[in-house]
Amino acid sequence: MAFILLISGLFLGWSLGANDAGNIFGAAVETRMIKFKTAAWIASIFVILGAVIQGGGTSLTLSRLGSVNALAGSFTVALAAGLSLILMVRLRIPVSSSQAVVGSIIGWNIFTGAFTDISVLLSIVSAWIITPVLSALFTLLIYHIFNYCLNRYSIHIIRLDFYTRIGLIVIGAFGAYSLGANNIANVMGMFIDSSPFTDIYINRYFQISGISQLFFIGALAIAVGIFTYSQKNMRTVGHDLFKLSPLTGLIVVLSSSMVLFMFSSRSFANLMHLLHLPALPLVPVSSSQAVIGSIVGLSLSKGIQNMQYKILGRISIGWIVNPVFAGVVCFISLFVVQNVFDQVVFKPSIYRFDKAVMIKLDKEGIDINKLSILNGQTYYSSNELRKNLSLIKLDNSEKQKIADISFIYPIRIEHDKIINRLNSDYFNSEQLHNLHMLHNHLFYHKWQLNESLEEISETWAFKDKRIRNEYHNRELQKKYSILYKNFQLKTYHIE
Amino acid sequence: MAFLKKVQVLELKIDEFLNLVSESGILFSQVVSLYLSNQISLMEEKCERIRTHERTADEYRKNIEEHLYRHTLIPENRGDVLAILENTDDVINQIKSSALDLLTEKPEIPEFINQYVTMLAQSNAHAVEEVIKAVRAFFHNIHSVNDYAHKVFFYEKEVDELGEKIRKEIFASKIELARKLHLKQILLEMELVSDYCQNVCDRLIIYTIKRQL
Repeated sequence: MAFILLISGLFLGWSLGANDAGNIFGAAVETRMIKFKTAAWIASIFVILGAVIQGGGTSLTLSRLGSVNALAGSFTVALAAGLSLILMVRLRIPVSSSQAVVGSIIGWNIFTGAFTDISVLLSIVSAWIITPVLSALFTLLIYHIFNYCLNRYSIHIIRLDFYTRIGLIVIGAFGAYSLGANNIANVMGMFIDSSPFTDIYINRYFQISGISQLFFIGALAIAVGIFTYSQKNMRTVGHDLFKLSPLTGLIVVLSSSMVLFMFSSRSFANLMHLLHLPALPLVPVSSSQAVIGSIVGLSLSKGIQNMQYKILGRISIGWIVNPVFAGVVCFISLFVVQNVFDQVVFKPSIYRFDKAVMIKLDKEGIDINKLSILNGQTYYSSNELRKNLSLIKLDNSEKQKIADISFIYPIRIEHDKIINRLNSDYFNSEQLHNLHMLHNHLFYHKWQLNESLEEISETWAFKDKRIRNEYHNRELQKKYSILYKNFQLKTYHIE
Repeated sequence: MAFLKKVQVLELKIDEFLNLVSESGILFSQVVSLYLSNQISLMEEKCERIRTHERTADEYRKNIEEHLYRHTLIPENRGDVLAILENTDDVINQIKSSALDLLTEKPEIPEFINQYVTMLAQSNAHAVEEVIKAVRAFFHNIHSVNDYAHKVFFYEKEVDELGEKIRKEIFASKIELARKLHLKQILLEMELVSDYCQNVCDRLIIYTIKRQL
């Protein structure tokens, strides 16, 4: 059943592959620089690599917008997004799956009473608007660099053709990687919290997380879409939208891929932080709109005045109509799935402010005197919690911290689960011994487990946020995630 | 790397082809001068060289065409490049045809037009030289194409004017009508060389606009 419910996500993946591969290899295939089969293989391999290696960043942003925590809910969210996309395509509005998915998640939030973080939503929407603008700017810049180089170095037409061909393959691979990294969140992001996959351990150094498996399946669906249905779309992008030559096609793909990469790379975001520059949010954006922005940039570079304002207008309509429509469809579908098909579309999120939580909040530097109205209270949805928090003067990061700390996530450590579910290659003997020491302990919050383990042994402690400690902290976070997932109590009673 | 080598080989073949056309232009000018100074054996030698050049250029052109199709090179500009090569081949064909006309028909050229005929042949040779530069520029540096094309148009006009002048002189003279018509035919054939050069440049100008980034 769990795998059947993934179908709507896989359909989204297929449609992404069918539509968006054209943005990367359209010009190359249409100008006969690369054969369709070669393009399809390169696109498929690099989409999969991008999704599995770097797909986490954008998915995290989507899950911050709304953590869809039941598989039937995820199915419905993806289905609503897919239906919305089909309708928008029929109305000839150039929309992206990202807009549909975001609208759908908000629909889920409204249905379940979950809180919609406006700051996250704003950062996502701003990314949609920035995407074509940034893409156009990059194209302007790259066009002038190319033009300068071509004027300066007299390259024979045959040799230029050879270099362009290599460029189209390399940049196409980069584009496909960026597409996979950026857009896998649209396909599988809503399934992360309800994923049926468990981690696979090969050895101490190599394990395949459940999320990676999920992303791999999603990326395979994208690859199937590329092979089965993208050829026609490649024609459309390479010819109908704008007659691109191989060289201008290369510029368009390079600039739009750079934009996609910037919106999906954690390393790039870290670099921007280090340089004290504003980092772009890790958000799934539309490759089609990046390409359209790029083509507008190309027209500006060539000094073409008759800009297609109609297309730009249609894009901005898509920013509003598509998410709203997807949200409404999702809301109605969730109602049907829950009440007609009797499926669980969400698991309630409970937040409790007991003594332990208040002490922890105090330790974390939050002024608990301001939180007196919350003391002793229990809230049964994030929306209810946020409503009460809005009565208190707190900044967004404080609100997020309070929500994280008060969130109930019951965990019980048990001997048999340690033996059967944890891999002795991945967890060292000391760590396993520490866990055995906590046999039968019940924790209501994730942080309580962290604190108990840190108290027992230093191997469970996070180190200072420095580059040299990054690997240790990331690995430890992975281990904690495994513990949360494996020792979570499915049924519990709140005292 | 093997592919890059193939690319280099093709570049060399195109260069060789253009060298042959360029040389034939110079040889044609020499052929006319030798004929006018009645050095027929030397002229025959030059004509033979033109004939060989034309044959080799044909082989090169076919080879280049085959190479471009077989390795699907420059798919976007392939048609344009082939059209340019074929039109350039027309130039060398016309040079050969005109030179052989002189050799086989041996027209009696009256002395009063000798100077003009030499000038016409030289202008033709200049037109060929400039058109080859324009074609090379199309392959390497499209920004210079128009400069060379402009010169080709200049020489083509020169040739036309000279041809007209010579024809006027011929028909104003008292030589036999049959001789007049023969000379007219020979001169029109010679003028065609620069016309073909102009055809190449007409194409080059359009293709250059297409090739701009």
